[in-house]
Amino acid sequence: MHRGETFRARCFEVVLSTALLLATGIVAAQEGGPAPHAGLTPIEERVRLADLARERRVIPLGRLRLSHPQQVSAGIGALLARQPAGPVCKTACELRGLIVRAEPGLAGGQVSAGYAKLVGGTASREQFLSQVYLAWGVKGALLRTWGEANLDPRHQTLLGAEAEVAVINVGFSLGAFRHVGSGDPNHGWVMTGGLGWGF
Amino acid sequence: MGLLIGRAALHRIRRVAPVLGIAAAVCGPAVGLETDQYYAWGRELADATEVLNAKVNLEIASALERVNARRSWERRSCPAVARRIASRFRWFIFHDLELWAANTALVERVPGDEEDELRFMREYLYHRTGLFDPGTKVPPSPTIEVGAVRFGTDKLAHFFSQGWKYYDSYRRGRRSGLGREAAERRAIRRGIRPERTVLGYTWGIFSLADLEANHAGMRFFIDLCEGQAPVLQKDSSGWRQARRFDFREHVAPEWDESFQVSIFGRRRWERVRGVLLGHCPMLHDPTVARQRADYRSRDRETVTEEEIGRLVRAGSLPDPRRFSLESNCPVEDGDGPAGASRPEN
Repeated sequence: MHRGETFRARCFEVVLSTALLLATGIVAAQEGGPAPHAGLTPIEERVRLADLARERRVIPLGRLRLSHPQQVSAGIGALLARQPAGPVCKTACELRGLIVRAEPGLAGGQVSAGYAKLVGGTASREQFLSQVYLAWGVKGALLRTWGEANLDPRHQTLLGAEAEVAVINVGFSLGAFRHVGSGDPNHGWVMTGGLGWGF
Repeated sequence: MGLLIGRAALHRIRRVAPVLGIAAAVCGPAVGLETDQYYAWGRELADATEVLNAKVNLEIASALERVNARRSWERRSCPAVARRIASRFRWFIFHDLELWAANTALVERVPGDEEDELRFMREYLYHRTGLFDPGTKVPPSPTIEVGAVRFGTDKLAHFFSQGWKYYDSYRRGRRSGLGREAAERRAIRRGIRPERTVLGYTWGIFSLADLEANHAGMRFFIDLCEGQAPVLQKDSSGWRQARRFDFREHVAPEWDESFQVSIFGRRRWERVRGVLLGHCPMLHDPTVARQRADYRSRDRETVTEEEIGRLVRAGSLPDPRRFSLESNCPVEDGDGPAGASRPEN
């Protein structure tokens, strides 16, 4: 690999790692809750304490997606969020936190981690967040292509970032990836995009 | 830089996109970003004024704390500080205070528990939904009671989010030389447009109660920085809240959608009318009758109602009264509801 290419690849990895660290940092910062204020009325103190009484939750998520280069894929993931104590909401509540996902597909598989914020509910399902009304997320991802992937060469390992949004369960994603590891130095950027069901 | 998106893959995605869109419309929950106060009729509901006031005051205090923590606080204008306050309550489509009120254990709501929520989604006023009905694919807002007025938690979002947009429009009007009253009316007129189109009438639901909450929100933001005693005041230590927020100064019976009925498009009305008529017997319920009498005693003509009246007289909007329960419930000999008439088709 040329020196310039190596440098660019390193820079890219540093940027990606920083993005992931920032996402983790945002999650950690949000766990602090509102700062205490002096001179609160009793009812304000009650509200403040109720807002602070949150518990860590692992909320399962799923999606089906048509995308490039994975073609058809199914993602299973989890949102690590802090929620008010009690059951996961049936109708609509706001959730935010660290999202992790594994997504095997016909022409590639992806593992990713990042930050997401969404409004959703479990509907009649107990824990699984089956209804995602509005969501966005940014993630760092490692993508390995296989099978009949529409890339040249077909089988590559790529590292990149992906942004996704979902409105009423319909999800859209867009990403930018770079080839990692040894091989042809002339690999360019691989743009990814997808459309699917769920988040 | 080589862009390697496969044409075949893009073509496949393009072909499948409409199918997914339709799937979203069909398979999503048959519910809506709307509300239904009829569902709460005859049911006990604790007043949530103090809790909501506390939450709003905490958020305002938190926003001011952040403003004052910056070196630039002295240079910040009052509307800039007001913007920081507004941002504590706003997101996109769903707004923080609405979601909070719809989920916290501190606010009593109808529907009250998970089972009731699922029943509400099956039975509420707009549960008969169409195939392309995005507005009713998100959950309906529960009813809460504040200052003896019942309204959907969506009004909290309207108050802070649309209220801020109204305020923005009001300020533009003021900058262009309009007086306070004229600028307010201009903002209201402009606010009616999206409710008639994107937010409301295209979905067949033009909520007049939403407009009232928007207007009340604008008044809240105006009062932060204007008048003889603005709520936000600057002293040597920073910006402070001169008096506490109180929802009772802002809510009105017009926020209750069973009192301030919405205007419906033809198709929506066909779906809604049957559900609405199911509530006719409740007009005789003493708690409902008492509540409506109380509302009538507090009712006054608002600026929004004046503007809607103007549009109705011009033939641009149907008369909202034709969608009221009183206008549609069958007249019962002897003891029919006051103002009742023969049902309309």
